[in-house]
Amino acid sequence: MKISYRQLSIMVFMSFIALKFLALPSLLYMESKNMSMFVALALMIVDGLYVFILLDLMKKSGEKNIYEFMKSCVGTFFTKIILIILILKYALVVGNISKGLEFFVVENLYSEYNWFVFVLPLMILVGFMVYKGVRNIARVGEIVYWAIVIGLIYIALKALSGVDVLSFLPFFKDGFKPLVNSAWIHLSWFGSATFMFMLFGFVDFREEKKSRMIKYIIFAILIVQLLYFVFYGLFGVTCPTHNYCISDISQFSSTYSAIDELSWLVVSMWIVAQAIQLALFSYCIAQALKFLFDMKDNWIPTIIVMLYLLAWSFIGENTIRMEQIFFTPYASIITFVAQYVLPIILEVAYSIKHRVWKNKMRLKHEKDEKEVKINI
Amino acid sequence: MKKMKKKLKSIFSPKKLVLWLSILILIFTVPAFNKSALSQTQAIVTMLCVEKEEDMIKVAATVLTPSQDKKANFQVYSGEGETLGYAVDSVSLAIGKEMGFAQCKIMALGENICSQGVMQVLDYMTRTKKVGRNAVLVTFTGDVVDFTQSVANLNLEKSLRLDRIVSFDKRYILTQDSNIETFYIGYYSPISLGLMPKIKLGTSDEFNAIEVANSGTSSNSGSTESTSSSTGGEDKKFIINDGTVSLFRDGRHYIDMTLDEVKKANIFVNDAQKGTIVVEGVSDHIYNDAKVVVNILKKDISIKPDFKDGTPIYKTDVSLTVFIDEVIEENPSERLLRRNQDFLTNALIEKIKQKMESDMREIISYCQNNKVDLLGVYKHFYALKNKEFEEYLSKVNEENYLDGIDYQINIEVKSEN
Amino acid sequence: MKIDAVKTFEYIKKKLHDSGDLKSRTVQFFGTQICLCYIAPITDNELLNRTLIYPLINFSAEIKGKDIVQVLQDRVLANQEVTVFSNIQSAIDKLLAGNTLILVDGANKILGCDIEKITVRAVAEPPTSVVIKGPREGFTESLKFNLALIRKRVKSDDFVVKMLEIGKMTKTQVAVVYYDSIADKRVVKDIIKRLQSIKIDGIIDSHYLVAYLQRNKKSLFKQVGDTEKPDILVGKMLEGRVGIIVDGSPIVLTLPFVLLEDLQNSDDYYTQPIRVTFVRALRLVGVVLAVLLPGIYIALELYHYKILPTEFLITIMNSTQGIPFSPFIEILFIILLFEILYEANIRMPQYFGMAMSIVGALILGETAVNAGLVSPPAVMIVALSGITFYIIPGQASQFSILRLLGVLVGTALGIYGILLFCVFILSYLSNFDSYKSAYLAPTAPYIEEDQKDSYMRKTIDEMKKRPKSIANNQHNATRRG
Repeated sequence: MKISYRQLSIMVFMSFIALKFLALPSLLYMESKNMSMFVALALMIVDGLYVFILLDLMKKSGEKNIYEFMKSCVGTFFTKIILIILILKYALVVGNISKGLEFFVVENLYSEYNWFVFVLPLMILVGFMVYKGVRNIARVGEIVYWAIVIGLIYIALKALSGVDVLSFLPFFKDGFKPLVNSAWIHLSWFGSATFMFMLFGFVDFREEKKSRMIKYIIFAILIVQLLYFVFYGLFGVTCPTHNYCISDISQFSSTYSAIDELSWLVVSMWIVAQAIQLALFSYCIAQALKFLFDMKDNWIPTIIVMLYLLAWSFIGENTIRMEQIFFTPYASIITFVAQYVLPIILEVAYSIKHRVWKNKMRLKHEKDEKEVKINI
Repeated sequence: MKKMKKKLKSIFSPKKLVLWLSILILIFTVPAFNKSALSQTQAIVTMLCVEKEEDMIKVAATVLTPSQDKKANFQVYSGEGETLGYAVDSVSLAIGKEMGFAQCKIMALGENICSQGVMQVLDYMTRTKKVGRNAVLVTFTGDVVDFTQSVANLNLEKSLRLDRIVSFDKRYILTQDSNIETFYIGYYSPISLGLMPKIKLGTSDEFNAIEVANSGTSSNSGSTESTSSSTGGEDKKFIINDGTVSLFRDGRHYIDMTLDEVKKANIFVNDAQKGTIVVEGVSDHIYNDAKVVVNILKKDISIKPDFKDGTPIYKTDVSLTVFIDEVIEENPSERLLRRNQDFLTNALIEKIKQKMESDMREIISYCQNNKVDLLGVYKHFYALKNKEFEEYLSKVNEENYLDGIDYQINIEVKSEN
Repeated sequence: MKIDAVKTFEYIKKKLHDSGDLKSRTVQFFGTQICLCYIAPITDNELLNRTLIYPLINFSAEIKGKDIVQVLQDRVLANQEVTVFSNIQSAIDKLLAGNTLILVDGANKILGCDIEKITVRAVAEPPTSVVIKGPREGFTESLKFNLALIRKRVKSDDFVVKMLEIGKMTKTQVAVVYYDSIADKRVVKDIIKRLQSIKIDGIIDSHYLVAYLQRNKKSLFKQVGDTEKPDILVGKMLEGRVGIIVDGSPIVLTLPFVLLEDLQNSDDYYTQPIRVTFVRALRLVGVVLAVLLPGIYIALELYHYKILPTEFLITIMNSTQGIPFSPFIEILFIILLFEILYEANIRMPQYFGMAMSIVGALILGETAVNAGLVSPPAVMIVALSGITFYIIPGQASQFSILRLLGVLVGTALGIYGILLFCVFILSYLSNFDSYKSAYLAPTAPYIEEDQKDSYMRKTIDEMKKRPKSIANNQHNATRRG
């Protein structure tokens, strides 16, 4: 049940753009004003670099899954602690996407709704995809990939003419401090590559092309930057009042109907992308739970994930409040550890282990040679 | 225990769970099977007019009404209340339907509400009632119900839509798009300036007026009253779009700009590409005291803010590509065979330059006198010469920052050939 | 044990419960009684007379001291296929399959000659796959004849026909055909194993085998391909698929099956590639329209009028005004009406069906609209969706079920529900691997080489490799010649 390198690249692409077009741009604007694009750019580039560190670890792990690999590097106790941190990170992402999806759908599509009913089909879908495993999620992502890309570019280009370039000037007027501050507060919206931990041992590296991964990452960054450029250029000072970047851009670029038909298609594709991301990070939770409690079947972790999704439907906060409650700097700490510290720890632990093992082998070899000499 | 575990496992097996959840969804959604179309249960508002009269908020809404007779598709209902919310609710109560504002394409605000401040109205309508921020904003004069009825009739009788009339304007007359979002952007900008086209409701046959018979159904709070259609002279109303634009400062109506002033301000705006220039008294080897109408084909504006010895310089380069539209001469000098390229003579170019420059100077002094930054001076200086501009601002009274700027204008006129 | 010709015939007669069509003809051959025993309706009389009776009566050479059965085999019977049976039961089986048994007094073996009368319908263009350009030959109900149609196109020593017999009562001949060097050996083995393990009374048509060959038995989706045309079958075999031909059925099954196959048409390979790419895109749009259009229409009516342009909304409101039913009931009513009309239409005699379709579609629809029972947009939407089903006829049956589900989901949850429904279907199909081939290949998993003949098509000379989407022998991936 392995996934191809292309499928992995597409999943990286999707996770790079997944959380970026809901409330994030308007939240970033609150601190970093017209320089928000650069905050996103910097964090995405860092995320991109970490993709390659994780890829390196993945290759080093060979056929081992993350649990076996970490156990061999840092031992069972630390492995379990790391798994808990990862579960927290994934749980944050799932909560964020599910809440984002809820408000996005409700605000843009319905005048009356009962999210409890709406979350049930989402549970079935996510449960099904999680149960069937990562190959399933990867394949669905592969099918909708082009539709999402074309849709996003279409929306951006359509609204591009309304962009006021002057609203980006002057550059870095208040220095870098607000940008760093903003990056830290909203760190939990980034750390897109963390899902790769749970894919250790599931990727077929036979058709590996590093250039392909680089292409997808650059493409994702460019698309996010293009849409942010349009968003900030269109709305300028009113950005903080726009919670749904993607639908607001499409709405603003068409005067005669609330959302014109093609933009409507794009907004639909965006919902699909969100659902796939939800399934991917739910899969990561299920997989981590499976390792943590040594479960053999997929079924129980799947049910737990489904119940977790259901639980979010009872929290009726809006996205901005959610940000204040759940995405405080504590969440940033979790993301920071899970995304930025953990891969480094694993790299170091692996190389130490590897060196020790190599030394042992060398010593053993020398000892054997000596014994042979004595025998002679 | 084992048996129970087995039973539980069979109940919650993957396939069964999907079945259970599907049944649960069905239970919750069965009422939808008998649900009528939302367009039948909601009153779909396409235009909302708000005005304040004697401490009461009065609203009138054009509601889409299904009818085989297409002339009855837009019905006007009105209501009033102490607050905007009450007023809207009173309309809902009268027609027995919840108001749906998703299709609301026009928000028209009366003179009184404009002078008191429109931000609360806009905020309520966009946040609570979900009016799209791309809804066109206009101000109007006259009675709120009469105005709404006239706009509805404009649509029914003449197939003309106010939002399209106003949007069409933007290419020729308005300095920018007028919708809620642009108004917000203007309001929250440091100069807090907003623009709205002003549509007048008149009773006399004026220039630019479109006659509409004022008839239809209207309701006053709590009661639905039907008036029979009449096209008699007394009920004749005129929708007048004479290009007047209302200027708003801090969300309140400040002054009105005439069409002439707007056209002059347009010279500084790149978006307004079209326009005509009329120059008089052109005399040379081709013209003999002629009045020439010049059509602007293309306009390039380049604005370069600069500082020289602490004085801000607002340098505007205008490059015009023109086409001669009409030449009005009482005594043509001689029978010349004139080709297209011969029309744009040096004398004419000079006249055009003079006319443009005087127009631009006029609008600059208009801005200075009224302390409104229509030309984007603040924006350009803030973006491109930030440090110097902030220093400058700290030295002068912020209200009068337009006065101390040196405006340099450079105009170039080209023929289309 | 020596045979008594008459007694053996009596025994066979008894075994066949005194069946009325069992006939015999007794001749004397150099003093030995020979009984020719055959089943009249399936025996070719002329062949019987020419190849058996005439030589038996007219044979005059000396046979003294020679084994009579051997003489018959070697010098008398002018038939291409003479079988020797030492077991009476196997002889009876062959008798039922059209052989004439030759019972020789005093011999210890029974001879059988194949003089089966083949009654074949003329080769005609199959109604399910009509083409504008390209071969028009279609399979018939005779296995032998169908094999002949294939052999006519396949002149390679690589082509293999494996014969099986399925059905306790019908003993139906089933042929598994494939190219030995192209098909995946494991797939062939798997198919043959599955066919051999079938325990059933009888196979009436090839579709009887589908249930035994598909992996996901309860699934709505088609998992076994079928064709009625030899050119398509050969094309599919050249890509590595295996054909299963059943005697008595003009429809040949093919495996492995991927969804894309139904998007392709034999016409596609005889037409300009650019046109084909366009047509395939149209088919894809057709699929979406067919399945989702009624659901989307209901969702828009019930939940999302705000995304419609105002003028369009007015048109819809005006035409749905005064309809007594909810949008769901209205659409359901029209869908059921159309389904009933469709069912009645295909089973009606042709001359009557034509008139009925006009009555059904025009008069019923028109009157329902005029009576104010249904609205014109609803009729149009369902009719459009119904027509687009047949842009991909192979999938029409599952589309009609999916359309109903789409209507249910659209009613209950609106566009959001329809989107989740689509993702669910994609996710479900992504898992649908059978016979080592992914159901949604070459889209998911994406196979770059196979894109030359997927949603777009390149020219034949550019398609140098066999598709990887289908399990085939990858050591022989290049199309030769």
